[in-house]
Parts: sequence; C-alpha cells; structure tokens
Amino acid sequence: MAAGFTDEQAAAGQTAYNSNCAQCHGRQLEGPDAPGLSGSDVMQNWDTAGGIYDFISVAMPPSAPGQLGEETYLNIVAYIMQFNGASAGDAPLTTDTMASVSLAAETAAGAASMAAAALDAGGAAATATPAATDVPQAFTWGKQLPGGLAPDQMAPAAAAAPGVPQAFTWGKTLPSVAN
Amino acid sequence: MKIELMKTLFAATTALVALSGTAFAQGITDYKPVTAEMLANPPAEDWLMFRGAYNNQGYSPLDLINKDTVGKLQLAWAWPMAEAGIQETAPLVHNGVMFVQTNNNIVEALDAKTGTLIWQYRHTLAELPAAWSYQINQARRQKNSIALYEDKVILTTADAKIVVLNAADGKLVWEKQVLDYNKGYSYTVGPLVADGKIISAISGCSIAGTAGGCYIMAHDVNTGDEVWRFNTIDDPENPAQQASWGDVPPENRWGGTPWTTGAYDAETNTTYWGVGMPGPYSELIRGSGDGSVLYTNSTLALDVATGKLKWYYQHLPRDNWDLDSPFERILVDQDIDGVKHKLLVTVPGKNGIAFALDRDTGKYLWSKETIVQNVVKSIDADGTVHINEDLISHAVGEEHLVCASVSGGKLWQAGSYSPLTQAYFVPLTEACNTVAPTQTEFTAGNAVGAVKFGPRVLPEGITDAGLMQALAVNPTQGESKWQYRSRPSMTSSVLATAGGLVFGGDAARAVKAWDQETGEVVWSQTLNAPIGGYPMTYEIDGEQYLAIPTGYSNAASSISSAFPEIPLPTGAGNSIFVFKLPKSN
Repeated sequence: MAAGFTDEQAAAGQTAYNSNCAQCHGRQLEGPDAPGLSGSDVMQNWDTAGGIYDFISVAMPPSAPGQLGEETYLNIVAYIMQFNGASAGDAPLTTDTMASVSLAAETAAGAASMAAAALDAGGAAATATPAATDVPQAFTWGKQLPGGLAPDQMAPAAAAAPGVPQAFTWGKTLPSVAN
Repeated sequence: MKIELMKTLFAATTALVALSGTAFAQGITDYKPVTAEMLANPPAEDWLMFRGAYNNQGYSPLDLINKDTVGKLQLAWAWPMAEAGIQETAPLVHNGVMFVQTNNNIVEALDAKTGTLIWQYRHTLAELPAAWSYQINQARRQKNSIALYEDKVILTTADAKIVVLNAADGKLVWEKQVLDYNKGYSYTVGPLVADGKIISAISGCSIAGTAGGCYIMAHDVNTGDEVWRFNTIDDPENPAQQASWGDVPPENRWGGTPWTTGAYDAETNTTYWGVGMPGPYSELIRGSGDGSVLYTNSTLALDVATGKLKWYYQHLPRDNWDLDSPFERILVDQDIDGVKHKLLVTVPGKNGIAFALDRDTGKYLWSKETIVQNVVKSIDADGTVHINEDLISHAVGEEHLVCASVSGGKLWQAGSYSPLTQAYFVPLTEACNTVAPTQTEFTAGNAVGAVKFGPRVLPEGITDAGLMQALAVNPTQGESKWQYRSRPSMTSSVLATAGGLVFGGDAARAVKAWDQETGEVVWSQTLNAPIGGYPMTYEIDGEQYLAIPTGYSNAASSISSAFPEIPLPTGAGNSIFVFKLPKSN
C-alpha cells in the first residue's frame, strides 16, 4: 500500500518540526502548550494529509504563519504521519496527492506502537486508566452515517496497553524485606 | 575523609536552609481576613475576586489614574510568572499583597508595592499518560482566578481538587478531590465564595471519559463537604431538557462545560453561570437530530442555597460548530425614572452577539450583533434564537465556512461594564473557519469533538482582526457606542475604571487605555509578549497601581496569520507589569 510520503520527507520533516513546532507541540508531539499531534483521534479528526496541510500551511507557526514554504510543510506532515505510525513508501507526498492520503488508514497499524513510544518518552502510565474499549463512544458510533465509515470499520480498537516483554516473575507475589 | 566530607556537606546544607528560612519564613504577619461583608462590598483599594466584585463587571472605582494623568504612568515593578506555558491569570490584591496564580496551579504572594516574593505554593499534579494529549493541554488552557476568604486562599486545580491555603504563608490547610481526573475532569476556572460556599464548575467535559456529567457545584467553605451539584447536560427534573437531546441518553452526552467563573446576586442568593458547547460538536455525529441540546450555550440561574435551577435561557440552540457560550455574565443595576432594573448583560458566546436578560426572571430583553457571524439568522422578540440551518452538515466530511471561528469571535477574554458611562466594553476577534464532521473513535484523555476545522481566516471584506466594541447598555437596547479596530487581535480581558478609562491589550504586545466616552486611545505601552490575563488595579498608601499580565493564552496565536507583518515572540514571556503615577511631590 502506498504510504503517501518518503523516508527523506519524514527525516527532513523531523528536523523542521523540532525547529519550528516542538517548542509548543512537544518533541513527542504531546503538547502540552499547544494541542498534541499524536493519537488515533487526532489522525481521524484531520482526516487526510491534506486536512492537516491546509491548516498548518496557513496558521503555523504563530510567529511566522504560513511562511515555511510548501516543501517544508509537506515534510512536517510526513513526519507527523510517521510519528503516528505510518510507514514511508516510494511516492512523495505532494499537494496533488495529499487530499487522498487517509491519516487514519495510514497510521492505524502504528497506533499501539505509538502509545508505547509515548510512554517510553516519559509519559506516565496512569493508575485506573480505562482500557481503550471502555471509553464511551458517540451515540452514532457503529451506525452508518451519510459519507461515514461502514459499521464493520468501527470495531473496538485494540487495547492501547503496550506489549512490552515482562520479567518472568511479573504478576507474582515476591517476598519483600521486612522493616 | 569520607565522613569529614559528609559533615561539611551537612553543614553547608543546614546553612542554606537557614538562609532561605530567613528569606521566606516570615510570611505576612498582619494579614486582615477577607470577610463576607468585604466580598459583598469590596473596598475600592482592593481587588478581591475574579472580576473585582460579585457582579463580574471588571470595574474599579479608583480614579487617580484618569484621562488627565494616564499619560504619566511609569513602571513600578515587573515579575516573571513562575511557569512558562499558556495562562490567563487574574491577579488579586488585598492587604497590600498581590496573589497571582499561573498554570500548573502555582500561586505566588507578592508585595504589591514592590513585587517582592512573600511565598509560593506549587501544587503537585499527577503525571498523565502522554497519549492523553488533549487533557494535558486542556488542563493548562484556562487558568484564571483564585478566591480569597477569611485568612485563606482557595484554588481549584487541574487535577480536579479544591485546595485551601493560608493566605499568610501559603501553607496547605486542606484539599479535596472533587471529581476523577482519570476520566478527564479538571478545573480550569476559579471558584466563587458566597453564602458560606465554594461555588465552582468543572471543565474537561468534552473528554471521552466524562460522558454524562458536567457540573456546577457547591462545597462548604470550611469543611469542603459537597452541598449540591447541578448537571448541565442531564437534568432529571426537566423533561424538556431530556427531550432536547433526542434519543441520545446521558451516557452519550458530552460538553456543557461552564468555563467562566459565575456571578452572584446576594439579594436573591442566586448564582449565574454560562455553559459551553455540546459534544460531539456536530449533530450528525452527536445523534441529537434537530434538538436544542440543553443546557449547552445557555445562561443558568441557580439558587445558591439548594442548587435548584431558577431559570435558563439558551443563547445558541443546536450548536454544530463548537461555538461555546460560557463567557462572563455581568450583573448590572440601572435606576430609570425611579424603577430599578436588574439586568444580566453578556456576550456569552464565540459568535459575539450581546444579550441582556432580566436576571430575576430570565426574560429576554434585547440582543445586538458585533463581529461578523453567520450562525444565527434572527432572534424573535420573545428571545427565540433561529440558527442558520444551511450551515448544518448532513454527511461526514460536508464542509461549511462558519463565522465566528472555534477560537472566537469572543473568547475567554472578559469585557467590562462601566457604571460611569453605562457601557459594556468587549474585546473581540473577527474570524471564520471551515467545519466538517469526522467519524472518530474516542480515546482516553482525548476530546469527542469529531470535526475537522480549517485555519482561522478573516471574514470576507475585513482586514482588521481586532475589535474593541463599546456598547451603550440600557433595559431596552444595546447600541454601538464606538468601535476600535486594529490589525492584531485582542488578547486580554479589559478593565474599566472610574477614571473614565478602559484598559486592554493585543497580540502586538500593546496595552492601551481608551477613553470610555470616545474610544480615543489615550495611552499605549508596548511590553514583552502578547497582553494577556485580566488587567486590574488597586491602591496602596494613596497611590493607584495598574497591573497588566503578559504572555501566551490560547487566544494569542489563533489568528496570527491575519497580521503577518506583526511577528509574535516565540518566547513565553509570562510576566506581570505594574504601573503607577509618579509621586506628585
């Protein structure tokens, strides 16, 4: 499947992102002083690579809105996609192709690994974190809406818990040193 | 050798503790408690709460700084806030002490004459998973006020706690976990203390885990015990409220966040709060059909004794565009021909329409458009609001250009009402954006909006993003008194004073004073960052001080593409600048 961007674009995009965007949006795209740019909901809301390009190429960064040039904005979109789990391919992302590059589809495979990367990058695992499948959904979720997803595309997502290998003794009661 | 080194280190550490003890431990030795009487009738020299008084007018009776003297203002002191990042701070002053809160719920007490630090409180916030990026950003977004009561400072925190500190030394007295931040709840606006209660409202109600409940709450000011809560999206006592969501049960409702501190009328023991948008933003995804989705985008009048709803008025039914209407509700009394009129005046929502209601009955009196908006077509004489149904999307991805934008229009920056000129001064932004529904699976710690927004752009034919709108207000109409337009957007709340002035500032780092009568700019000063927060004023030893917060909020950068010739700083700059007049002798 064509991923819609090249490795070279994503690499150049990482440099451009860290120079122009990371101050507010975070090195791990986590924010917090501007909205986070990682996560399946973010990808779904921007819809396509063109959706995010159309926004950032006008409004970002606030100190020089729209001033980075088409190539740099495309590279930054490629990096955001790659960070969210999309794989690079042979065909570059262009302003002609971007509207047909689905962010949700391209990044879906990477969602779980992205969550693990975010944890590795310093995010804490919260206690009492509900599993992904327990999150309340819209009343219309799972129903066919005009122009919307087919119901079989709305199966519950895999739990976001990272599949990191654990110690042989993990989950077992171990002796502790008495005080 | 090792032991000797240890001893030396120990001695050095002890000395450091002793030194800092000398610097910080004194606290405030003569702190006079803030009484209920003072809250009801604030002394002119103080600024005791969010907007100066229970009426939320943002007006000071001080007049030493006035049209004749304002040109002589000099910098008295400046202070960097304790944290970078976005903030909307509302400094308070009592007993010669300024209390400043910034993001991450850091509170500092400063000598209000000199800016010298007296004490600092740093709240310990739980670290959230990085994937909860919306919640982490949201918890930093709106951080405005704290409350003073007796010898205490009361704050509401990003991890959904009420925290009570000693005003004299900043030490924690008690704290209470009010709601579960793991679901998405956070406090983003400060509390109001009235009738022996801490009245507060929770935010984060557009985050997936909070489905079904968004609350205005009252807690006993001494014990923290919950007295009542009112759910803005699920009112079992009002069948019309339930019906307004169509088939959507409470567990699939979101939004209704009351994210501006409310007003209080002691005469009727009533508190007035504004309520934000519904979630998901689009009715196509929400599933609520043509329902008005109460009590989103409404004014609520609640009995402070019981939490019961006295009346509601919906300013924007059937919102499809994230056009929240929670902003400042201002209580205005006007005596006309011997008749006392008790008004509630507000520009409640992002679409910038001004409204006046009779605050005892909720009866609609008048409305007045300000900035360019296309979502409300008309408002009947009885107050029924008719929306522009052409802007409702009927398919996923169906896009419409909507004015105002999700960033306003009107945003958190509060206007001021001046009894001196009977005018309401409102900082506004001209902006539109495209809105298209998306179908999104919700994830923990993230929002349920489910739309794609385009960039904020100027309305067709408009070249100035900023608008300072003065409205002449009376019980029968609100009319434009003057307008001041500027290329940069307005980024601070405004302050009106008995000196005939109104103060506010913009993204171009300029704080200005306008003549309330004419709109003429009579003073302007460029500072270090976008003007932000809530400008306020106070008096000590016969001198009037003017405090101006600067730095980034979520308003400062939303439409900078409309004025590219004015580069915004990339540094945070969060600071307090305090001005005063030179001594006359």
